[in-house]
Amino acid sequence: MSLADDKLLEQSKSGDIEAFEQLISLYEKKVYSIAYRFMGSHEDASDLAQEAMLKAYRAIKKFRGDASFKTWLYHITANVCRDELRKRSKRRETSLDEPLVFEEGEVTRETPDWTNVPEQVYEDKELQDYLHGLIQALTPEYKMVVVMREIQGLSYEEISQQMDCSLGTVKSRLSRARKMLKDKILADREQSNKVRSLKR
Amino acid sequence: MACQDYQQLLSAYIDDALSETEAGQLENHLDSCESCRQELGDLKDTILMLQSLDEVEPPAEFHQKLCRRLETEKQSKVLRPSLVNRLVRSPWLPLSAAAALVLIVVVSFGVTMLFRPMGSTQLADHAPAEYSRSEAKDSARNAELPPQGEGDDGNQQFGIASDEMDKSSVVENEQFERKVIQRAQFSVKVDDVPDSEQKLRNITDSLGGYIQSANINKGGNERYFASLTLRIPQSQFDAAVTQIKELGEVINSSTSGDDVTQQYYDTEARLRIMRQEERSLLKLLEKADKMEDIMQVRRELSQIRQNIEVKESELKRLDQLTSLSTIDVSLQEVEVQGHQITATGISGVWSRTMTAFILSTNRLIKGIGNMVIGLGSILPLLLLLAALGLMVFALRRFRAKRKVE
Repeated sequence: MSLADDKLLEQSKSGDIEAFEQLISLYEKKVYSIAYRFMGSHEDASDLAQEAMLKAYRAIKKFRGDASFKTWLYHITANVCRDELRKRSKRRETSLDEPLVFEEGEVTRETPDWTNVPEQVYEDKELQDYLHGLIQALTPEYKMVVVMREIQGLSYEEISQQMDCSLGTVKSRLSRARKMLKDKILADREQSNKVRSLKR
Repeated sequence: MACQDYQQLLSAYIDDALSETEAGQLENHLDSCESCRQELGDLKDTILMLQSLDEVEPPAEFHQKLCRRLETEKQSKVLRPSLVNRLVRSPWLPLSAAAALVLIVVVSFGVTMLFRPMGSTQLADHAPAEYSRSEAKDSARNAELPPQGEGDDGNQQFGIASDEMDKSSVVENEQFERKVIQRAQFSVKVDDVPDSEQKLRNITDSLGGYIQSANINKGGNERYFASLTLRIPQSQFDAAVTQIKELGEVINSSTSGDDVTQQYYDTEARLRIMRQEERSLLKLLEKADKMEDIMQVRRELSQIRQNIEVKESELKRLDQLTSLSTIDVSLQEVEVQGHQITATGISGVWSRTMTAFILSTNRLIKGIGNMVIGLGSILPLLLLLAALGLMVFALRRFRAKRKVE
């Protein structure tokens, strides 16, 4: 954090809203990205990223500078998203593979079709969307560890603090989540290879 | 250890989160196991891919929206003192809100109970045939009460008028005569319509009434149909009804009484006031010597005379309506069976079906309406129950929270 940032931080603490806006604009993109990876959709990401920054604004006087402002802000973002995800899983959101039950019978949910992704020749955007879809398909606990570790780059200790669980739990959850993602990617790749060889 | 066990360590191994001994064991195994090495490589690839995910560009309006929310946040912070803030966040809020709701419901119930009897005394208790003086006095008092909304002149005048009526009535007589507009309607099946019509005329004459209108038709089926409107003195109304019923088979009858007692005496009282004012205006006119004043008084005089005329004719109309009751009689000839073939049995089927359809539809609509009304009437009770439920819920949650803490 540069000296200029420190100055903005001080001004923000004294209630200067413009200074806070300036300060936050530096981290906006990252905060938004974290929220997006957590929540999956742009609407939710917008809401929660804003929520996180409002929270930061409310609490900025309590920020003592033990960690950098950046880390503090990302922590708040993760907290806000974690709370929301937990709230939603309590409400039992419909899972992706669970068919929606309608009166006329079952209708399978439509999810983007990743089976045709050609090996290694992903368009960059396509790859990104593909991976994002994979993360979103995970159950909340697995999703949270993956985002915290791979996107936010938090340590195991930090994750265990944020998730309020033991180090061992973090380790095993992360291990299982990674394996699931890896298996899915390999399976999809194989599928697309088959499709291609059939086409030939 | 089996491959599976080693593979579970791979994730932590990549992150350097294994103990030295664990890491050593795993490395030993990896040297000798091709499939686990493959697994490690795939995992690493996956993690790299995930970590390579770009940051996402927020939508264009994101920053603006954020600034707006911050702005409102700041304002609300200024407006809302910390005490209120704490109160809003306190677990007692739902509880106190529920208590307030209960209070409101109870109080509003009480208030409506208080006010209801006052409004209804004016209309209730018309049952006795004589409209007693004390009741009239009551209603006059009620009329004198300041009106709920803005007090308009008419109402005030009314108050004075009733009072005036009150005093004079003490002098005149102790009791008012009830003023009721009596109406009755009969449909009667008779053997011979012209004959029955003649009988009706005789009845009317003997009771001192008159026929207001009479209509005799011969229908396409060679049968007569007649409708008459009789005006019978109020006192003879019951006698007339009994005699009409003796004419034949009554298939339809209805009587109604429109009580205009209050309207009648109010009009009378207003008329009296206006006449008084007319007299005082005339006196003024005698005293006035300036042309301007004379013109002014004359204008007012003509205005009040106009009003007096309106009231007089209204009173006259009421007098006429109440002194003579109105009886509508329709006479139908009884069908002579077997005389000739008639298709009357079929002819009305379609229209009767339609009528039945409309009737039951109306009933349905009315039923739904009643249901809505019923719902409205139990709403206060429901609110009360909801409030109580909320209270219990809040209490429970509060306790549970405490337990957790």
